[in-house]
Amino acid sequence: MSYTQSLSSENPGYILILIDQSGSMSSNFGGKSGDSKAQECAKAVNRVLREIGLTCTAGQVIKNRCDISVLSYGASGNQAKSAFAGNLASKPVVTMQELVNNCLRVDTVKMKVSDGAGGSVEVDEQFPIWIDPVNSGGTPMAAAFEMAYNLVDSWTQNHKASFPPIVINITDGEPDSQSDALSAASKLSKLGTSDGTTLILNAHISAGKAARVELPSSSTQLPPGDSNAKFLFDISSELPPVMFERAGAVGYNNLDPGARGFVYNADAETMIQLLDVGTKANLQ
Amino acid sequence: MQNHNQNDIVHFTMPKIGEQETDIQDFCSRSTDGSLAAIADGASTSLWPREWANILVEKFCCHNQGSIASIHERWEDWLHPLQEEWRQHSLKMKKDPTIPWNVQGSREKDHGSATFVGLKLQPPNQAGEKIWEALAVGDSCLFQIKANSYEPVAFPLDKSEQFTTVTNCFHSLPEYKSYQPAYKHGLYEEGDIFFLATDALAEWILNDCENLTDRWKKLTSVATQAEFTNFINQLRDDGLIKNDDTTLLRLKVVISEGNKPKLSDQNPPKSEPSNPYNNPLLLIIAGVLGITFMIGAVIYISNFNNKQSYSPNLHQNDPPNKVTTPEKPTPIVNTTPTSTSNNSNPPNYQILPIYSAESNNTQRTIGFVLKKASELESLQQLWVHVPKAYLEKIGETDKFIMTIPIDATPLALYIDKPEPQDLLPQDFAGYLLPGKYLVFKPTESRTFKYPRWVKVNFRLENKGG
Repeated sequence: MSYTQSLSSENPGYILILIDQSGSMSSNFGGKSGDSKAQECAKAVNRVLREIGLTCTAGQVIKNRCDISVLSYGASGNQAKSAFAGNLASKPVVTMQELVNNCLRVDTVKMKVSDGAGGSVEVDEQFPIWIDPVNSGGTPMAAAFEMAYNLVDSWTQNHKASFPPIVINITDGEPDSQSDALSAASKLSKLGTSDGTTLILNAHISAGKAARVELPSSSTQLPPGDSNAKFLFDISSELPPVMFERAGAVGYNNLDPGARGFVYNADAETMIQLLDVGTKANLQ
Repeated sequence: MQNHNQNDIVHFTMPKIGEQETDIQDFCSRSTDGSLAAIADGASTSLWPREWANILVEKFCCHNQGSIASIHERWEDWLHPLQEEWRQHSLKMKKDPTIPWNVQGSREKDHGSATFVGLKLQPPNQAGEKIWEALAVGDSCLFQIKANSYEPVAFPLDKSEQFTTVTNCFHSLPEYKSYQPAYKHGLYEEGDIFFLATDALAEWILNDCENLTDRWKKLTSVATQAEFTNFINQLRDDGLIKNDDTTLLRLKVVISEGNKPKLSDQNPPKSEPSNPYNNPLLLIIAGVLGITFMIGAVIYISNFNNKQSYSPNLHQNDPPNKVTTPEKPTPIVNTTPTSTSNNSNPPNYQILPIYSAESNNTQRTIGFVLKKASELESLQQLWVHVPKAYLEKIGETDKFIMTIPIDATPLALYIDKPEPQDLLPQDFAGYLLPGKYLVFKPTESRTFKYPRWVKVNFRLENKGG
């Protein structure tokens, strides 16, 4: 049976994030934040990376249960490139410990938490930043999938028993060529490990005002007439049983069979919580 | 509370493959008088799970007043001070600016979660009954193995299919609703054994019971951490147990003299000891008059192994003959593994020792075969299905040293065919004894992830040497 391997220090997983930094990302995001799509996109990447870092930390120990790449496309002409800066700039694939220990900076937001005696205490909530917003140029999404293909090909050679790679594409869904992107994504989705083929998940950061959509099973659940959403839905993988099972534990209790790894103007980091990186506690 | 017994309590633990002992999120504890024991498994994706698991087991084992039923009735009240203790730890960490962001957690990752099983052995009541009680949440499990029985009773899960990657937990903050624990009680006697096991081990034990493999019985006698580690490593190599932190707490009931009932007070046994030999799936060989008990036992145990390997091909239509409750394992069986012959006519098997072919001088018996010598005359090798961990490659050669440890489950032998996938149940030939063997080119098993097929050179006494 496929997709049964958990992400562990023995058999780490591999998450590749593709971030759209094209010129079209300068327009306003359709959600509530009031930011540009580029800002929303960078925020989504940083939150996904933070979620992975938190998930792979038990107590004080960072567990190398996952390798990470972040590729950007758009701002560097027709090619994709590693989006890491600072200490990670020269490394297209980093371990979890390298990721967690090498963010560019940590932003803080004041947060109140209960003191257990009826009062509250103010503490800092910390947000590590690895990626800053960029928007310029075209949208060579196909080039990003092709670069991901090469990295996945090389990674899977050395991790044949691992959970297959997970590609999370964060974009406004307007590639230069849908057919090129489709064929590159299709080629990438055929690579894999003995545990299954590569999963492609998409987070659609749209200027549209439609309500958020999370893990739909049918294109009828998408905003009507949004061809970009339809395109991204089409290239999104169906959630394997383990992710479907864990979706219930993070609040998706009514997912339809065939739910796909696609979110529209919604939190991309939720998809990280669906990965089997260790025992998950049920919430009620 | 009066010390009413001298229970023998040990525990063993090992981390996931590739991780350190300090990374283990499982905790167990016991009271000083041995009447309370608990185990908890912190969810590694939650916040400070070790601290939470530790608080749970320590507090449970300090609680030595009253019954566990009273905790069960007011479990949230019992949990609350434990949660506040964890909260204070959490606040201290959150206020410390030197603690890195990933250790601090987040608005969402702000609490720990852990599964839990706690056991209490009550002293004998006025009626002389000895009652145990347990409280459990999630997929850490309790097993009771009654003295003279090999049928464990499991709680709160009792089927391997009930284990998933998501589990119910006690949460470390009252802001999150914890799952109501389950409660169970029963009677215990001198010699009973209790296991408290975290999920990977509990799931494997149940799976092993369901498959009638009975390897779990080894856990009743594991004496050292090294032995436990070897045992779990073997299961991991065989692909039988999940790669997870793996912890066992074992309690053997030893009643102190002052608390033993007088003979005249003893109640009759509550139930007949179950008979491990009346299993409907018990496979069948031997039945040869004059067979020694030792050989019989080896064959009996090994048949489970053989059965498991070949279950897809075995015909189960003929009901196996039930054996009346023997006091000692004396397997009397009367058909072949393939059941193709008439059950009422036992085949006239010979039990032949086989010898090492590696040296003509040695008279060392390496196993026993159940074939006629005429069926083996043309053969010099037999297939054996062996866990990968038993094989060690010799340098750059294609030779391997195969070491079968003395406590291994006996390995079944099959007659030589070109490919292992050609083998049929009737090709079963006998058993190989523990020892070191020189073998060549292991062939990967198509059915199992880690075992390998290798050929063992052998000779019959009349085949030279």
